[in-house]
Amino acid sequence: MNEVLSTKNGASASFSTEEILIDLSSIGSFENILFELTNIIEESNLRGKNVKINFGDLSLTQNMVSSLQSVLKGFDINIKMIFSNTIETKIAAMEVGLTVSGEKPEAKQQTVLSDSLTETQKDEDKLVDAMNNVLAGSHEIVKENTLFIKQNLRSGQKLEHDGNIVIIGDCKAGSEIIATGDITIWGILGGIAHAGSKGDYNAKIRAFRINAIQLRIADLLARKPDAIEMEKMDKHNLFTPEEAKITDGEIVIYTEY
Amino acid sequence: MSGRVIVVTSGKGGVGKTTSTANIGTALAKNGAKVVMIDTDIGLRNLDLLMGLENRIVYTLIDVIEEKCKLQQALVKDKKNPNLALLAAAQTRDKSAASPEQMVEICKQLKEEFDFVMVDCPAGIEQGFQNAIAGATEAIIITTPEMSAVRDADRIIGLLESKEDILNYKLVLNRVRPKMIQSNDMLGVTDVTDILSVKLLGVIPEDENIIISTNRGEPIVNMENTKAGTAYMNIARRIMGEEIEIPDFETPPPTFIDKVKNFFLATASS
Amino acid sequence: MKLLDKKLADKINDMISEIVTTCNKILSTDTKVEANNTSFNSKDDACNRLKLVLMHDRSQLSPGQMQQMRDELVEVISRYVEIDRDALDLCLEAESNTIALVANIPILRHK
Repeated sequence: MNEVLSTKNGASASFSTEEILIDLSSIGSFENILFELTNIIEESNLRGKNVKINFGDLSLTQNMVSSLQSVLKGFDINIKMIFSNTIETKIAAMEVGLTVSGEKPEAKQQTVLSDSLTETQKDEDKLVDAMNNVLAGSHEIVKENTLFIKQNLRSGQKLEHDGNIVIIGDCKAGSEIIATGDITIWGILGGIAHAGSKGDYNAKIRAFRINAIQLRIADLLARKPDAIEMEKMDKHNLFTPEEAKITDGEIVIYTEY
Repeated sequence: MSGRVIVVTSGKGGVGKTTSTANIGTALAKNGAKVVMIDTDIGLRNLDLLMGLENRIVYTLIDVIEEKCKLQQALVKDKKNPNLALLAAAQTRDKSAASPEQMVEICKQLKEEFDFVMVDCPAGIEQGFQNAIAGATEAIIITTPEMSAVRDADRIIGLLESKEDILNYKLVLNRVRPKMIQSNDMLGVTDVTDILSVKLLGVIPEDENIIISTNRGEPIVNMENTKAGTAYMNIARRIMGEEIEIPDFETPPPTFIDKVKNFFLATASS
Repeated sequence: MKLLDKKLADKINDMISEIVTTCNKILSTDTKVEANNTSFNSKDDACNRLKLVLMHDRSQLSPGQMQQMRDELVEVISRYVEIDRDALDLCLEAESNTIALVANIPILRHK
């Protein structure tokens, strides 16, 4: 049962049996967000609850997300997860420790995505193309909806995305990346990577060096062997990119030339 | 007959809670008991690392609480001992992800299947601590013979005393250096137990092998002939009801002259 | 001031024992702390400092405990003498190496 309440100027809260979704996507600016949020909290009696928030196309900085978190904490509200169409907001939320979902939020019927791509995302897709030409591999990369991030992921950070994920940087042990498509890391993969999370057995995981704690593709799982001593990851070494994919029902790592 | 839920706590960080949980748990399992260890340090988990199981964590305590998986799916079996299992904490969340009520429920379910549920408590006295003690009926307080650790242990004992469900609690004094105790440069065993007014469960001497065991991801009780390993094994046996005397770390060992004197005294009186 | 008769004096003694038991129950520590000032080596320093620090730490009752102690004391004392409940003043005072529970109890009349 989906119950939707909304304020005059665009914030709305919807309640399904298990979760509460606050939809802020029609709000134009950050200043309005704080105002509308307070309204919706009072009107919908959200104190003390766990909520998910949809930011839509809003572009937020880390400070903005932190401020929102503090405001909500004042109402004893816990943010379980956020949805966003912009990379800046996703990164900002991740840096603050929030779980970023790649799925489309329940309350809104959202059509996609090539239309709502921001300018930055289009430029970055061109870069993705260029990178793919450099990497060996004969598979096609779905260009739509690729999340492109330029930073290291550290222990405790989790990134989920509906589509492909490209990371320029390392993913340290203790971090988690979940994509419905491929995962491409221009650095060392040390954490957990889950590609094809919705069941795509053709999804692939690539990195300069795969030193992952666990690799997951669709519903298969492979873990790092205990006894083998991996050579020290020296960043000044010349790297040969590696790719993990499913062959004969198992996850196998290939070294590209 | 349901199992015993024991929380391993200290207040102060870095005094050996996780190491003790790993080793006491492993030692109990080596003695034949069915043991599960729970890491409640959500966001900063370490018990998996000490047990060498860090690559095998698929589901965590939080996944169980949020019903993303069944409790059984989240239990990771030990590499060597099938009687031993680990319920790991989540790394990508924080301590607000669990509540004391949820912990009580999980401990309740686990004690039906296991003889011992060892709960590794995080440092501090906030939510993490409250979560860890929620389902426990016994407590082991870990401290080292240093002022800050003893002061924090006192606070923890005060908090445990005011919790009715914890029926008994005992102290483990960790990282003692017998030579420093004998030269009066370190608080001794009786000093600490007197100051804290608490029963002693065991004393663990400082042992470099602990570092080696952590590097390898292998609890020290699995290594042969180590001082700390033996001490942990004795603690496990005491928990299971055996009476084992705690060695005296305070009187210096007899010197050669002492031994000669004693020999003559003994022969003189016969 | 009238002199108290023996019967009343006995009653007051009983009252005081009950008060002491009640306080002990809540303070629940029997540390016979005597700070030993002749320290010689670092361990004795540590012991002395710890004992003092813990005495201070333990005497910080939580507000809940303080209120509970106050209520129980009022109840005990009221069985013997009639007191001005609202004017009851209770606090812990710490000096160099002792801590005392100081209570100021205005008595209206004895029962």
